[in-house]
Amino acid sequence: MWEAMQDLLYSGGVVRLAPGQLIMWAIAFALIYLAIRKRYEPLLLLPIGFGILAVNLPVTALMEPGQGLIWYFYHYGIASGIIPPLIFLGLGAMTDFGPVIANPKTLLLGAGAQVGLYLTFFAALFAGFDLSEAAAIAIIGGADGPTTIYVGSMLAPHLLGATAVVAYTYMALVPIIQPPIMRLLTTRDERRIVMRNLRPVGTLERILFPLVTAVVVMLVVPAAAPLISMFMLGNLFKESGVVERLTKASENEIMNTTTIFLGIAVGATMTHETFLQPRVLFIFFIGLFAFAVSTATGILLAKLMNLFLKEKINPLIGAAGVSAVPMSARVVHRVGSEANKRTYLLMFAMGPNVAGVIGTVVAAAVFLSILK
Amino acid sequence: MADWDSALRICIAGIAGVFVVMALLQIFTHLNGAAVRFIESRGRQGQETPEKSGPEE
Repeated sequence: MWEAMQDLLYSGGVVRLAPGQLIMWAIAFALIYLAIRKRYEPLLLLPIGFGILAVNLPVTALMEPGQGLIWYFYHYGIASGIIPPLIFLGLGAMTDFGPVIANPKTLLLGAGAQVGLYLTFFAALFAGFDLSEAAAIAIIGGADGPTTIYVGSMLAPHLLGATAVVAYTYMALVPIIQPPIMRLLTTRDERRIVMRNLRPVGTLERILFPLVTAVVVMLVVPAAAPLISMFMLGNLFKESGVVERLTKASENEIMNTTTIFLGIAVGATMTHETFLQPRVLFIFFIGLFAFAVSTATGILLAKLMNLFLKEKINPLIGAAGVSAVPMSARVVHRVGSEANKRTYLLMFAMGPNVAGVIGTVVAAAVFLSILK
Repeated sequence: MADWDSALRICIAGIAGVFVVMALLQIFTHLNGAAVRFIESRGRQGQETPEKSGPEE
């Protein structure tokens, strides 16, 4: 009887628990708390938190290559590069490119924020990461979760968990990170600029936009094809108005299903052996730098554009170029309306916001085409 | 030790790539808008012309 009890005890995980695993439990519970209590990116942080918890329970072998359940999710979903493009299909079906089409110069603002991403690339190199790792870390500055995961899985799978968690955590913290930088880099008069109303955009223009964007981006940067093709296909579904079932499937069933597998698989890459290292934890600092610098470069480009534009734009909308749709656009709107109640920036900021998604994909594709 | 030459090459290629793509998209979006508005205005003119010319004939 006693021996049977002993066998049960030793075959279980209790006696094999390592201190590092307990620390990872604390991180998992913290993410689950932030997701449930604070509503910080709950769609991702909740499954990621659970994935971290599950993989840091001894003997479960959930990430054992060729055996573990979550390993299969990871191997066939993320390492193969399938899930992030499927997420982009859903994002495309949910994205309204109207503000970009009505005001095409905001496309350049989507590019401006990507400059910060390359500054972060150098910061990561200075910190001792190699080229591939630095690229996987720099892409955090794009504030685009699926792209971060896509690049991380291709260039630095051992850092994937850290980069993904950092990206989603800071995306949730955009309302805290961005406003001080916005106020620092703009004068009150600049923040008070009222922009002219956007023109209405017709159906034909909306249908042509994803088609033209897909062709242009894939011709210039073919490595962007997996992400941009799915993104634009999803948007074409939406704008065509003739495949409502496919649009709904893309933005609901496909998006939700893939989000579950993405979250739990990303979380499961964060074992205590791979995560609890000073250089991995340092990614949290570089990630913050990435968000801050990308915000700053977006604003500075908007200010630079104002030197040449007859009709001035409110430079705050440059900060929305970091993607983080629609959070950063909302933050821009809030900071703008604090300076001037007549300034209604939400729709103007949505332009650089969605353009930033395209910009981040292009930047990611350049990294992949050179480093993969 | 980081490979700074490669890093610089990636950085220049990346920034140039992003701005070229966005500039091209901006141009094509402007052209699309202009073309669509032109087609739509021609369409409206086409619809209006028979009504106006009808009584005169």
